[in-house]
Amino acid sequence: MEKYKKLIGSLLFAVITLAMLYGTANLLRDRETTLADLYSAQEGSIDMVIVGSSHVNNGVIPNIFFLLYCISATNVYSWSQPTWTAYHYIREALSEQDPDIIILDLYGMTYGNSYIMPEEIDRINYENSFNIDINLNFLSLIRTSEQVGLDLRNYEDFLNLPRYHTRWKELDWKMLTYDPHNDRDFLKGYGLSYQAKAQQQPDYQSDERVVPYEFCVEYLDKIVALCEKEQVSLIFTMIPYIYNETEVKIDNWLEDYAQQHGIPYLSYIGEEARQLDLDYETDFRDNGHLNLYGAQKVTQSLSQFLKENYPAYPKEDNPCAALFDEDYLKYERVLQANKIMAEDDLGQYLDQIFADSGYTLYLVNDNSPLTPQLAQALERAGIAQADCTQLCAQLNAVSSTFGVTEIETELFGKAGSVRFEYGENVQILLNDYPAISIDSDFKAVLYDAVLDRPLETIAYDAASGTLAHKEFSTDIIGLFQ
Amino acid sequence: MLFNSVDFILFFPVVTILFFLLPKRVRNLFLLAASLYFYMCWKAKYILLIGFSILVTYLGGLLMDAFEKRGKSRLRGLVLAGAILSNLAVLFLFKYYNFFVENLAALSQNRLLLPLLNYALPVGISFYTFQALGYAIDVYRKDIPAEKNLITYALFISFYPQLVAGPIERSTNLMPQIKQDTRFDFEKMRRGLLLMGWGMFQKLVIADRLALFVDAVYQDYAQADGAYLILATMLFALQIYCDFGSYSNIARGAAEVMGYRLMMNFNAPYFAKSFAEYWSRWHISLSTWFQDYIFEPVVWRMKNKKVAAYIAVLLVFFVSGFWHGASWTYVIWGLLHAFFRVTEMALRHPKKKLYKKLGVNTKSGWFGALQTVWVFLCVSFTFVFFRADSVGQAFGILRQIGTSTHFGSLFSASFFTYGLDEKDFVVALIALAVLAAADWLAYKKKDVYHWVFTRPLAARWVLYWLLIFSSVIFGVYGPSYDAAPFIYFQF
Repeated sequence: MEKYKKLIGSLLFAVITLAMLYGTANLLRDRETTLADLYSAQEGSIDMVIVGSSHVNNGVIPNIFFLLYCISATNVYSWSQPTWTAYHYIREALSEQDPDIIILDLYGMTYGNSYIMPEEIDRINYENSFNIDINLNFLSLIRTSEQVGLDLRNYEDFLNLPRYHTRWKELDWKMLTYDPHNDRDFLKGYGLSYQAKAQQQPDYQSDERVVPYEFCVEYLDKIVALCEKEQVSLIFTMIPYIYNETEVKIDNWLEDYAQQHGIPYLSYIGEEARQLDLDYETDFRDNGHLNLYGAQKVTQSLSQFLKENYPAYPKEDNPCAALFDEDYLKYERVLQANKIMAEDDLGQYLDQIFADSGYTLYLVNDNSPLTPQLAQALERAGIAQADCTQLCAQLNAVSSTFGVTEIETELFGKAGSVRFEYGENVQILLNDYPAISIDSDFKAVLYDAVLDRPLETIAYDAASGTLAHKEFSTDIIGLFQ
Repeated sequence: MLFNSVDFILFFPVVTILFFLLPKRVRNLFLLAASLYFYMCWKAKYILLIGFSILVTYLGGLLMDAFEKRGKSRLRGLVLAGAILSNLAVLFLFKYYNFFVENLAALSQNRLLLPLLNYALPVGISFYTFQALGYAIDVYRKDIPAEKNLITYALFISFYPQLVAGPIERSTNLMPQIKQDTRFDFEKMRRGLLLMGWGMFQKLVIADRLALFVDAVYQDYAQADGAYLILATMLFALQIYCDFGSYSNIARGAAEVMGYRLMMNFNAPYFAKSFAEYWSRWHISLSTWFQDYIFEPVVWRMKNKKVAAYIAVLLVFFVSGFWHGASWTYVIWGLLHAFFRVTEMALRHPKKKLYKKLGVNTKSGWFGALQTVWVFLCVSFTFVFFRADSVGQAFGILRQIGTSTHFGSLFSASFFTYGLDEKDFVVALIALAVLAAADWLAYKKKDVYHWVFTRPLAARWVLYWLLIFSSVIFGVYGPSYDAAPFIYFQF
C-alpha cells in the first residue's frame, strides 16, 4: 500500500510540475506575432489573406482593400519567408479563418537566387515558426524545415521556455496580458514606412527559364493543391523589389507555372512593373521593400484586379464593417502622424501637435522622475537608446495660435498656467517664469492618444536649429494597444 | 552530451527506466552500452581510447593475478609498470604532446622542431585514465582481486554519470556495487533526484551567471580596474566550485537513482580553515587518489618522514597542476598550492606557540572566520593562474591589481556593464546566499537531505518546485547564450 502511495504521489508531483512548467512557458512567452490580426479577427470576418515575406508587410495595405473593394483582408507574413513556410502560414490562415481568396507573393520562390543569402533565411527560419501558435501546424513547420535540410539551431530552442525564460527581467503587466488573439492590429500586418531611398530600376530582360529550388516547387504544388481542396481562389503576385537577372528567369518560370495551373499571376517585376507606374526615385524604402507610396500603388492595382475579376463584396454583408471602418481611420491617423514626424521645423511641428488634442508632448528633463508605466513602455520600445530616460511634464495642448500656446496644466510638479512660446525665442513659461528654454537643446516624446502609443522622440539642437526624429517601429504597435 | 541539455533530460529517464525494467543479467551490459553511447555523443572515435585503457588494465589485472598465483611477484611489477606506462603514453600523446613540442622548440630556440598533432583533446581522458590506473594499482597491492568479467570492469571505467568529469571512483567502492544486484529504491531515487536538482541549480543559476561577469572582466583585463579583477577572481573561485561541484552532484544523483553510491567530491570547501582541510573538501576523489597513490608511497619509502612529506606535497601538487592541463598556468597554480600547504606544515608548531604566547583564543568563532577568509583569499589568488589564458596574462592581471585598484569603482555605474545587469546581480547574490547556507549546514555535518525528506509533504513539494523553477526561470541557458560546457570537461 505504502509503495502505491509513493508511486501515485510521485506521478502526481510530476504531472503538476509539468503543468506548471507549461504555464510558466506560456507566461514568459513573447506573444508578439506577425499574425496578430489573423488571430484576433472575428471568426469568418476575413475574406482575403495576402501571404508572403516582408515584401508583403511593406508592400500591401489591407485597409485600402476594404476602402476600395469592401473586402476584408489581412497580411500573413514573416521575414524572408520561403515557400515551405508560406505553406504552413496558409494552413494556419485556413484553420483560423475561412477566406475566399489567397494572394501569394512568390518572392519565396527565389530562395537561393535572391539578394538574401539562403543561410540568412535559414537562420531566421526558426524565428518564423514562433509567429504560429503552438499546435500541430507549428510542429509540422519545424519538421518541414528539417526535411528541407536547414541548418537549424538546437531543437530545444524551439521549445518555449529556453527561448523566453530570460524575459523574467522584463515582466510587466502589458507583457503578461498582451494576447494576439484579442488585441487587434488595426494595420493588419502592414508595416508603414515613409522613408524613400532612390533605387536603380532593374533592366533585365530574358526569355529564359530558371527552375526554382526544388523544395520551393514542391511546396508551391502543395499550396496549389491545398487551395483547390479548400476551394479558395489563389492569386499569385510578385511585389516589386530590386530583382536580379536570375529572378527574372524564375519569374518567367512562374508565369508558365501559373498559366499551366490556371492561376492569375500579377507580377510587378520585369516588364509588368511598368503598369504600376512605379517611381524608383520615391517609392522604395530600400532595395527590397516599398514605402507607403509604393505600397499604395500596389494595393490599388491589386484592388482594381479584384474588382474586375471577382464578385463584389457588399459592405453590409460583413458583420465587422464598422470595425474595419474604424481601422481604416486609424490607418489614416498613422499617415497623418507620420507627416508630423517628418516635420523639420520646430515651430511648424509644435503648431501641428497643438492643433490636435490627441497628441501629447512629453518633455524630457533630467531632474524629474519618469512615469513608471511609460518609462517601461518607452524603454521596451528602444527609446532609452535615445537617452530619454526621464520625463517631466505633460502638455496637453488645448488651443493653438501660431506664436503662443497657453494651457492650464502641471509642469515639474507645479500646477499653473503654462505658456508655450515659439518663434524666435522659443521657451516654456510656467506662471510667467521660464521653465524650460527651447533656446537650448531639449528632447521630447510624442504620444498619440488616438493610436494610444508613443510615436517618436524628438531632439532639438538649438545651435543648428535642427529637429531630429526617432520613429517608433510599427512592429510594436501591439504592445501599446 | 551535456548534463544541462535537453538530450540528457531525455536520455536519463529512458536509460533509468529501461535499466530497472530489464532482467538483472543484462542490466550491466545495457548500462555499458548506454554509457558508451553517452560518451560517443561527443566524438565517437575516441571510444577507442577508452577501449584501449579498459583492455590494457583489465588484462593487466588478470595477468597480475595469474603471476601472483605462480609466485612471480617481479613480473607483477612489470605488468603494473606496463599498464601505467601505456595509459600514461596515451594521455601524454593526446593531452601533453603538443605542449611538450612547443616547449622543446622554445627551449632549443626552434632548433628542435617536432610536428604538432592536430586533434581534439578527448573529453574526460584524465579522469578515466586515473580511474583505470587506480584499479591496476589496487590489484597490484592486492586491495581487490582482478575482475574477471570484462563487462563489469568496462562498466566500472565507463559508468556514464562519472565518465567524463568524475568523481574518480575507486575500484573498492564502485566495483562491488556493480557486481551486486541493484533494486529500485524510492528513497535513493528521490535523494538522487534532489542531488541532481541541486546540481542543476549550482550550474545554471550560479556558475553560468557568475561566468558572465568573470569572462567579461577577464577579457577586458588590460583596461579593467584592479578592484574588478579581484572581485572577478573571487567570483571565479565560486564559479568553478559550483561548476565542478554541480557536475559531481548531478553525477552522484544520477548514479544514486539507479542504486549506485558514488563518492562525495566536494564538501563545503570554502569553509575550510586550513589548506589541509581545504584539500580534504575540494575535489576529494582526486585529492584522495593522489594521497593513496603518490603521497603515501613517497612518504612510506623515505626515512625522514618530515622531509618526505614536504617532497610528497610538492610532487603531488606539481602532478595535480599538470593533471589539470598542459599549460604552465596550471603548473604554477599547483605549485602555489604546494607553497601554501608546505608553509602551513612548516609553521604549524611555531604558530601554535605564538598564539599561546599572545593569548589568542584559536577556538573562537572570529578566529575561525578569519582563517576561513584567509584560506579563501589565498585559494582565490591561485585561481588567477587557473583562469588566465597564459602566464603572461596572469601576471598582467596581477600587475593591474597592483597598480590600478580603486575599490570605489565597484560602486560606479560601470559595474553593470560587465556581463551582469542589476537583476542578474541580485539573483546571483540570492543564489550565493542559498549556496552558503547549504554549505554551512554540510560543514556542520547536518544532513540537509534528511531534513528535507522529513518535512510535511506540502513543504517538501514547495521546496522541490523552488529548486526546479529557480533553475528553469533564473538559469542561464537558451538561444541568448551558448550552452556553457562544464569547466572540468577540458581536463
